[in-house]
Amino acid sequence: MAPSSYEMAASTLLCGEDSSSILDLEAGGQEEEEEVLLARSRTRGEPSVVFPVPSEECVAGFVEAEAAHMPREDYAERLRGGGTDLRVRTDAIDWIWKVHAYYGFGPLTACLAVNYLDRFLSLYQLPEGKSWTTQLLSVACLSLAAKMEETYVPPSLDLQVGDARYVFEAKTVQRMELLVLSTLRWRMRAVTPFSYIDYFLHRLKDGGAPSRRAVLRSAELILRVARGTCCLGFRPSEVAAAVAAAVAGEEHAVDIDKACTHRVHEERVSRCLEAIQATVALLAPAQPLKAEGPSSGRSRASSSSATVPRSPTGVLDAGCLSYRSDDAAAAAAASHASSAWRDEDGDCSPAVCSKRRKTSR
Amino acid sequence: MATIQNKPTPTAPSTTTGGGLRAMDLYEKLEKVGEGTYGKVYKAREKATGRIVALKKTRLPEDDEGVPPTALREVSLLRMLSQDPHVVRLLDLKQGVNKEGQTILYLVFEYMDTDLKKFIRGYRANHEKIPAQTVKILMYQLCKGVGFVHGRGVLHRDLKPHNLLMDRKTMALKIADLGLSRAITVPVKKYTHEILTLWYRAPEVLLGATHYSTPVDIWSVGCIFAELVTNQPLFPGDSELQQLLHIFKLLGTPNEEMWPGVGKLPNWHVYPQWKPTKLSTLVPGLDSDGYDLLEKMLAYEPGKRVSAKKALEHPYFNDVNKEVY
Repeated sequence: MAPSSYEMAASTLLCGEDSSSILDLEAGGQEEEEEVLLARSRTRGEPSVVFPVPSEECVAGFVEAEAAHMPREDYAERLRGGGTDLRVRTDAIDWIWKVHAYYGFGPLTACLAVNYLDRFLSLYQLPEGKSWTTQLLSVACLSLAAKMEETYVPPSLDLQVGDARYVFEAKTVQRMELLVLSTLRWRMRAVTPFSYIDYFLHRLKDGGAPSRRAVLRSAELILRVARGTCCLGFRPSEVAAAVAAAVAGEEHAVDIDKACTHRVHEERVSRCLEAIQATVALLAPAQPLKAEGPSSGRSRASSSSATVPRSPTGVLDAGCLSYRSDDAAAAAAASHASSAWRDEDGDCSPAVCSKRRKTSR
Repeated sequence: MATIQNKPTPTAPSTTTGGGLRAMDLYEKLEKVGEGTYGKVYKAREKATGRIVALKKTRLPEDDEGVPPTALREVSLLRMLSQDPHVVRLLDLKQGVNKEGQTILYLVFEYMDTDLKKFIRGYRANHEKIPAQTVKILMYQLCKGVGFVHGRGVLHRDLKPHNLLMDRKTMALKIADLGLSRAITVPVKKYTHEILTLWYRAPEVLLGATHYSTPVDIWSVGCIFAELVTNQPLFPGDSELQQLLHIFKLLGTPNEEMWPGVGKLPNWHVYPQWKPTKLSTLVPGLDSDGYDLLEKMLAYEPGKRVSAKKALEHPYFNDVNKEVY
């Protein structure tokens, strides 16, 4: 369980109880929240430290590296076709968002979890008709993201809150983590829009410091983009530049030119910006689930464990964990993994079978 | 002058799974050479090529934690940073199973025959000083490596002589052990008061700041610089309080004038009011440029500490052959 006194956010961000604001900022509440945050910062007695904006060198390095942290090119197209992949992704992200809100993780953790999910799904075919694999993948991606980014990471069992239909043993989660790591070749320090956003906000403000409202709003938009599919084909730098332009544009007219350096193309940023603005206009502000209190969460998890059958074991045997840089071998390994999972059909216990429900969508 | 041989860039590390037996069939362990943040390190020979490597081994017990964050962070960061000649190169990652059925990870690194801690200790044992030019080229490489790491948005957070690997013949120096490293990222978030080796820990960390950044690594670099010159650690405290007192006794107790905001840090108290001692007394054996650079590395106010990149431009390094390093 997360310690109740634990504060997950820095002064410019939100404490756990305010985490919903990252996902659903309302215009009226912004100034109030900013004052609360400032007061909180002062109360804690820490001096307000201004961190350096990412340097030009740093940004250039990120732009150079970011392609290695994106899903395979055909993934966006596959999702736009709808079908299984999109459903898997939507279910996984819904669950990730619930747990993220419950534990008050930072926005980068959510962004990383979605990055891992997308990259994995673009490379690896989950066996069809086994919804528990979606759940297990969600747990693994969020767990890995939290380990990369959070200072406190709940144990595997405690992480599985948010009405999970299956609860997996720690060793099963670990095996899935290892599969995700192998598939993504351990490139978990992903470049994301968060790597750039402060840089672009500065540029669009002619070097001035962005307001806290702009930072919070940017984080909200980045997560909304990550959750949706409209910008999947765009690079993180393009998403960040477009988000910065959208946010800065709410305060004053902006010239996108100023954000387009280091081979970030203005045309692509403009298209990305259009996609973001279309999405924002289309959706009402997302309403996150209310985070449950620690005690009710605990009892729920407990009760859940008592009634849900043990997670499938032996599914991820050693053969599933093979991955070679050679594409043919990787395909063979993936196929082998799928076969191994398919072989489990006959072992599906009646209780597990009966737990499956059609996802209404 | 020693010449660094630039090896051709190896292919990206592959990840392979065999049984533990199979992974170890590829390598012959020669000797255990140390422990990293989370595992034992062995000198080993790759059977197929005869190449000498360092194997870093970690068991993954199937407990609640799953893959340990330290292993996850180190591998991920090395995948990002290994192309720089001043960061130790990760050659491969092997995954296997031991006799008890536990998953074992082997990180395969280029082998470096010593580390800075052993190097310094060797001189100390002989009652000799490290030659001034050697200090300079080691410091140049250290600043360059740290500059690269910071330039990629990463804090090391555990820089100390033991984590700086060396090749005695070439005097090459490389940064290792990124298990405690962190990305510098926005939105800025709170870091815990995680374990950093005390002697090289920056005062803002000791005073409980959680919003620290690249200057914490520069403080460590400054401590290492002083140690290279004198063969002795500059601030060898044995508790957090003792560490702070060591620093304050030697550099003077900070106040709001020299370090605005220091009084608001969580662990700030009333401390005895010591006056600063001259660096030339604390660290005898440097020239004036060296003292100027060291002073800038050990500035109390984090924002005033020199950056690694700026340090490389400092006059102290003017006579380093920058093409070679």
